[in-house]
Amino acid sequence: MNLLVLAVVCPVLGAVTVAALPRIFADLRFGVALAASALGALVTLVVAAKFAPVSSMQFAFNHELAPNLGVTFSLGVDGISLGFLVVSAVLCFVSMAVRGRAVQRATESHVQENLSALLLSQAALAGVYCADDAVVLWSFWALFAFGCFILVGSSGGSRRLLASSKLALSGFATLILLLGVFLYLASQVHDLTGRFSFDLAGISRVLLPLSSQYVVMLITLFALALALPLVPLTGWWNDTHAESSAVGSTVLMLGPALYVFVRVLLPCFPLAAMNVMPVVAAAAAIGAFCAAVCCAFEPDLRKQIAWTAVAQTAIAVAAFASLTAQGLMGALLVMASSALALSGLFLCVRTHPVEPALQALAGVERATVLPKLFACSAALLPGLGGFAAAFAALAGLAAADRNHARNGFPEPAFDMEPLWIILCLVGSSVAVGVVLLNSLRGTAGFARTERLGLRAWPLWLVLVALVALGLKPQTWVTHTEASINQYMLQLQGKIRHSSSYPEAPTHLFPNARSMLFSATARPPLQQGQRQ
Amino acid sequence: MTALALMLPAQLGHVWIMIACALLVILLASTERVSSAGLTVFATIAAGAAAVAGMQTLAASTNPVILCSGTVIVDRAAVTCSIVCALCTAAVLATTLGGNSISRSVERHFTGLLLLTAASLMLAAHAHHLAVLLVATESAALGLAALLGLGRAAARGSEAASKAVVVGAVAFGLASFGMALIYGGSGGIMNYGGLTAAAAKGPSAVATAGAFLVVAAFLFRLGAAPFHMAAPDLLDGAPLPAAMFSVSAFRVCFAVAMLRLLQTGFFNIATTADVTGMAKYVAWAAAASMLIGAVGAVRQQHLKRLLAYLSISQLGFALLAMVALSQNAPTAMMAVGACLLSPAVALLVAFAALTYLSSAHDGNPFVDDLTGLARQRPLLPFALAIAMLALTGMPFTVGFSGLFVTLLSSFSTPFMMPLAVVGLVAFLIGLYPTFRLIVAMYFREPAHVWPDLSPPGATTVLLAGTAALLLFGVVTNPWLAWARLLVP
Repeated sequence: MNLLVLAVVCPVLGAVTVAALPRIFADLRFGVALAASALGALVTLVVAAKFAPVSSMQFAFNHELAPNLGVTFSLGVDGISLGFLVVSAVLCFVSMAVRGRAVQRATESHVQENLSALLLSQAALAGVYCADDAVVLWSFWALFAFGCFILVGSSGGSRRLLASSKLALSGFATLILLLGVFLYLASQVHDLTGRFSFDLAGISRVLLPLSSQYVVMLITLFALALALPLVPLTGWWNDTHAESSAVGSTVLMLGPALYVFVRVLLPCFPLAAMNVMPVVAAAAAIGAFCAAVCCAFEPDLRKQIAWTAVAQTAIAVAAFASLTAQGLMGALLVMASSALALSGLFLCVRTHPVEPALQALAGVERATVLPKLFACSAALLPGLGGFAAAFAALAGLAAADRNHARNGFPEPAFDMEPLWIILCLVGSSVAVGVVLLNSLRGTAGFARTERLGLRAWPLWLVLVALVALGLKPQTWVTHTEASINQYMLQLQGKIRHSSSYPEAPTHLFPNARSMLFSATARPPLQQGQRQ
Repeated sequence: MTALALMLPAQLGHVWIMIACALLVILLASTERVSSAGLTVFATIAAGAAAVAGMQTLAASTNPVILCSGTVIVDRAAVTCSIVCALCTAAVLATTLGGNSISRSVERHFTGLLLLTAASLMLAAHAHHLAVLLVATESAALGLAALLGLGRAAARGSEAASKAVVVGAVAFGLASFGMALIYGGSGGIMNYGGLTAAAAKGPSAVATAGAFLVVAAFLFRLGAAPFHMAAPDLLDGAPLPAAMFSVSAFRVCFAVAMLRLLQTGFFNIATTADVTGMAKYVAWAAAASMLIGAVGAVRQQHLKRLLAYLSISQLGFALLAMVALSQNAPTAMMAVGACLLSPAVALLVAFAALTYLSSAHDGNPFVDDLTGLARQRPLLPFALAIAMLALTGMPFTVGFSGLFVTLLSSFSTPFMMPLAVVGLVAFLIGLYPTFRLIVAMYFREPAHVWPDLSPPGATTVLLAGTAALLLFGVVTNPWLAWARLLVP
């Protein structure tokens, strides 16, 4: 069986088994779930080990779901998606290993829902990060949102139902906006070629006129800003983390919004993106500053971690906005190191003070070294993943003007001074890290870390990964470099092409020059033509 | 024999089986020599046999055949619709087995009446003449009114029965008056072939007015907005099996009959610029149904009313797909079929779950009555949750295929893009009641102890339906191919 299919199927089978196990086998639930999650994570590690550092999609799998609609269950992994795939699967396993048993004890009545939802989320994340088809990606994202809704709603604080409702509302609002965008792009493909296609590479070949690009891109940007989240759309994010269990928070950290940012927003609307991205970068920097201020005045440790995530996401978004290969590489590193460090922190923090069973488990003490090291990574301490990632990302941002001039873009796209943005992002990230470290000293905040004992062994693996990322990021770079270069080449080609004919009718890139301004660019539907 | 063969053509075998069995059941019910359960089992088998006969007809013939002096058509759409009707009838009958969803005093009458109504619906799907359509739809509507009125012992049942009669009378008035106008305006034409030719030449103002009235009658019967007011009350007060039949077989057959009528040229009348007046008329009804259904479901506490409002929203999507079909939008045929078939299955499962619940609960349950149900009866909330998710159009359930294809068709036509946006908004709003039910069943503490009751019929429908909802949510291609067969 294809390895990527296996990475999706293993957790799904585990979820079905856990949900179907009768009560007399209740003790087996955690074991089955852990085994399924471990198997899924192991498969992704095998994929990473076998991955060849070239730009093409590897381990491809294609099965036509609805040929008339152009929907294909197509999976594949390249250098950009590989990191997301491995990190999400491994962190799902780690959260299951560290907190799964605690969940089982604390929420005896919801254990099946909890474990199944975690496994479904793991499968959905693997599906999203491997999807080569927009409908498949969207469907797996919807499954992920549903899994998170169950995870947050079934265990956590007393106001978890409200938090899960907010999560569902924001998640599905994002999804519905994205569905509209995908359907619109597919209908444009149909107008141009006579058949529908949801292939991500296919729909990103559609070049809309600049005015349409702006409209559709802003819709997509709003949807993704809601899901990431970016300031000021962070209300649901903090409330959810405040009420969610540690497992729920960990899974939420792995959300696919930034991946869709890379896969859909930039390639589908290149010229509009180039023009808008400086504003996006500036907005991200302001958002990071706001997150740092809010974090400093926030007494709840979980909300502090949530604000830290917002600040780190802002770095990644600003790096993407630079539209440089270095920035893209840095942004991917930021997302990986942020997911590792902040998930590790969430798993160290006691789930919720009002849950008696967990209170009994928790040693209400000063933080051990583990969470402090995770916080150091968030504070961009050299030697850990956070520093290396932020350095690469901000270096990409600093080089934006120079790169754009070298690539022959019509105007220097990054006409905003990147230094201020970089200073703001660095300052905010360091500030939130310091706030976190201060809280972990045990002098502030009402949520406390707990001594996990032997259960913490997977967290040490996470720390090792963070250190490896900090000391030797070349391993990551080697795997992703070819794909990122190819991606940037295509993006730059589209920007150059699109900027030459900004208001040309919708056409396909790159063999579209002959179709420009031609009446045949949009073949009319024949009367009575149907599929 | 030859005369009999001419009168009872073999291609309509499934209809004859249904009518014959209905008459036999009514006869047996009056003699009281056979138990109610025996009658129900016999009727279930009869409905299954009708479905098999329909499948044989479908396999044997590929080209449309017009029979009975041009009044009846046998084509893929009509036969498929009949098969769906027969299967839904069998499912409804099966859910009544071993439960208390319908009182013993009326159970004997219910079975025969249901088969007779199903036969009328089948005939409506085969209608190729306005007179046949009127007779078939009115007999089906009368049958349904009688079925809905079987619960009149209760206060809500009485209200439902009276409303069913009033709605039936108004719809009959609109339909018959509209048909009379068409007849007069088109120079005495009643069969669909003639109507198509007349529409191509450009119908008179009188015929156009008649066409609008007939379509309004259909929208009234289907419960589409703005004629939806009585629909939730009808379902609320009706016995569960009757409500189940009304939202599955009845809706599918009426919608197919309406679509056949629209395709005779009704969609082409009253043309204004690029889009016909009739298409705009149905588009308004679609948009209103999608939104009103979804918004109406948000505040409903009563499960039956909640399902009724969601079914109105789904009907809006089916109407949207019909408008897309009128605009020659790609994939619109699939969209119409999927939007009729998917909600029918989802509603069958949801109502089967309600039958299950009403067996254990005194009266029809409210959303709050289901709190903590998942801890006591894991299968039931799972099936209900899947049915609700399918009804709202979540991925990995059959509901998504209908929603997706409809929106895809709508996005492909500039005129329909605003309607597609309305559809997306309705989808988002419709998720709220679904999630509210899931929260109640899975996340809250149990409100009371549910007795361990498992009506065998309802359990079978629940299991088979849930499996279908999930299986065809993943394996979408055959589902869409079957759904496409529903469109004339």
